[in-house]
Amino acid sequence: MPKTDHILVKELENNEGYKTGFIILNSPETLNSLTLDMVKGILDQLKEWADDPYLAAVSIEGAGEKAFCAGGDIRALYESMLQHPGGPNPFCEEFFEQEYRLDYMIHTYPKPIICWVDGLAMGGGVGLVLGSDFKLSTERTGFAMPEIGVGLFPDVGFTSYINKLPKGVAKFLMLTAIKINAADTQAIGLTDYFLHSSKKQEFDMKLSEINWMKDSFSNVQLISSLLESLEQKEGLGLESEIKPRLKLIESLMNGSSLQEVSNNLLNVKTDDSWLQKAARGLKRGSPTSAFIIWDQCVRAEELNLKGVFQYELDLAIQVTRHPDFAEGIRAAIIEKDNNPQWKYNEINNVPIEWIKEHLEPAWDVNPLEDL
Amino acid sequence: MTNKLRISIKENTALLTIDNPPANTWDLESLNFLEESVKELNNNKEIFSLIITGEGEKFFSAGADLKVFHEGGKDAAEKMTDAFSRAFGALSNFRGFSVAAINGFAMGGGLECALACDVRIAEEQSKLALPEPKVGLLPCGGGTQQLPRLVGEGWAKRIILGGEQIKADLALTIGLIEEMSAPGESLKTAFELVEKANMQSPTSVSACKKLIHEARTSKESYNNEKDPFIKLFDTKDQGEGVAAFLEKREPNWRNA
Repeated sequence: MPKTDHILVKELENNEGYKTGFIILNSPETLNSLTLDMVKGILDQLKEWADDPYLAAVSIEGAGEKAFCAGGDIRALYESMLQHPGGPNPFCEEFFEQEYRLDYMIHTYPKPIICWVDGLAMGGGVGLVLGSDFKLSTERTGFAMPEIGVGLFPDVGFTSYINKLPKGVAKFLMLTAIKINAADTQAIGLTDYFLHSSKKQEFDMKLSEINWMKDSFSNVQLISSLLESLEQKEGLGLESEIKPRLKLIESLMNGSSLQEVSNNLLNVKTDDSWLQKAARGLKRGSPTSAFIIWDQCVRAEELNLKGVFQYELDLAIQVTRHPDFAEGIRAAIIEKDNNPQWKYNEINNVPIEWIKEHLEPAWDVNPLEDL
Repeated sequence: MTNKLRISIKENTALLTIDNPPANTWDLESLNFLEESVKELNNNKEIFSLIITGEGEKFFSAGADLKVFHEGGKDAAEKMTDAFSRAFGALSNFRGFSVAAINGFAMGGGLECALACDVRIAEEQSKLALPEPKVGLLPCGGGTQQLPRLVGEGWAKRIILGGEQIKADLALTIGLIEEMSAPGESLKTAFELVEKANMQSPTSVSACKKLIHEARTSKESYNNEKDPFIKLFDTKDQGEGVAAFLEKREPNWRNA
C-alpha cells in the first residue's frame, strides 16, 4: 500500500482470481497535483501489479469533479529552487526523474491502463494520460500544456506526441498554453472515447464484471467492447474550438524560425476571441521556454520514446538551474501577481548562447540511461 | 484520407504508421487508404523504400476489427476480405524495399501486413500469431499463403492450426522475422536497414524484387534474369551506377 494518503489504491475481484486495479489521485484541494510521494506511490504500485499474474487491468482517475490531475507539485519545486539557485538540486532532479520513469512505465506497461480524464489534465497530469491505452474524456475534460506560462516547457513525454497530432497543433498548444475541451481532444486524437461523467459508476461496475483472460491482448479487446457500449457517439454537447481552425493553425505555425511563427500568431488580424486568447498565452509566456519548445519540435523527428524522456530530463534540470522557472511559479501561484519578470522578455532579445546553455546535457550520464 | 494510417516521408523513405488505438486494428477505411497510398508511393520516384509500424508501445496491429464481422455478416465479410487482399497485395507488390517494424502484438491481419513486407523486425516483447481459427475465421490477408514460404509448412501449421503465439526470439529462430530489436528500437533498426537499401540503385532493387517474387511460381531458374538485366541498360541509374563506381564517388540515383 502506498505511503501517502494522496493516492488511494484498490483491487476489485473479477473472475477466477483475476482482479482490476484502481488508482485514485486523492488530493482534490490541490487539483490532484502530483507530489513526489504520489509519483513514487503510483510507480511502486504499478511495479507490483506488473508482476501480479492475476491483475488484469488498471484504471487511473482523479478524486473530485474539478481535476484528473492539474500537473506536478510546482510549489515544492519552487521552494527547492530557492534553496539551490543554479543547482545542483537533488529534490528537483529526483522529482523529474521519478515522474518521467512513471510516465515511461505507463507507455510500456504490459497490461492495459485506462485514464479517466474527468476534469482538468495539465502538464504532469497529461504525462499520465499520454501512455495509457484508453484515454477517456468527459464533458468536464479540460486539457492544456501550460508550462510556457511558468517558464518550464511541455515535458512528461509530450515531445513524443508532437508529430502524432495534426500538423502544427502540438506546437500551437505548447506555445499558447491554451486549454481545450473534450470535443477538441477527440478531434485531434488526444483522447480515444467520450463518455458522459454520469457513466462512471456503470463503467466501474462493468469493468469489475469482465471475465478477464490470461493475456492482455484479449483483455484490451474486452475493454474496447465495454467502452464502445458506453461511449456517447453522437453529439458530445460540446463544440470543438480547434477543429474549424486546423487549417489556420497549420499555416500560422508553419515557419522556419520561432520568430517567424511567433510573429504570425501575434500579428494576425482577427476578431476571433479564441485565437486572441491563444496569442495572449504566447505573449505572456517565457521567451526562453518558447525557444525550448522550438527545439522540442525539431528534435521530435529523431527521438524514440526513451530518447524523448532522456532529452526532456536534461532540459528540465537545466531549466531548474536557470531563473525563469522559479520566477514563473512565483508570479503564478506564490505571490500571484501574474507579472513574471522573465530573464529575457522578448523572443527577439534572447541570446542564442542562453538557449544553448539550456540545451547542454545536465549530467555526464543521464539518470534515465537505463530505461 | 483517414487518420487511422499516417504517412510521413523522410528523404527517400515513406513511413506508414497504423494509428487506430488501442490495438491498431484495420477496417475498410484504413485498408483502402493503404492500397491507395502504396499506389501513390509507386508513382513517386523520390520514394525508394517503405517502413510500416504501429502507433504506441504495445501493438503493431491486432488485425481486423472483429466487430465488423459480428455486425455485418456475410456482406461485410466479402468487403473485408476483398479489401485485405487488395491492400496487402498492393503492399507486397510495392515497387521498392519494404520493412515492417513490429513494435508489439502482431495478430491476424496485423501479422499478415508484416508478411506482405520484404523484411520484418520485431521488438523483444512482440508476440505474433494468426488466431483466426480461434474465432471461427481464417486468415484472409495472405496468411496461409505467405507464412509457409517463410517458416516452412510445419511451423506454419503449428502457428495457424495449432493456434500458437510466437514470441520474438522464437520468431527469429524459425525465420518469421529477420531481426529482433530491443523494446522501442524497431523503427530505428528499420531505418538503418532502409538506409543501406537506399544506397543501392532503386531500379535494380525493384527489378530484383520482381524476380524474387516470380521465382515463387517459376520453374525456370537460369533464363528469367536475362531480359530484366538487359532492360536495365535502358535506365539512367545503370549508367550512373557504373560511372560513379569508376569515378569513386557516390551515385546520384534518379529511379529512372
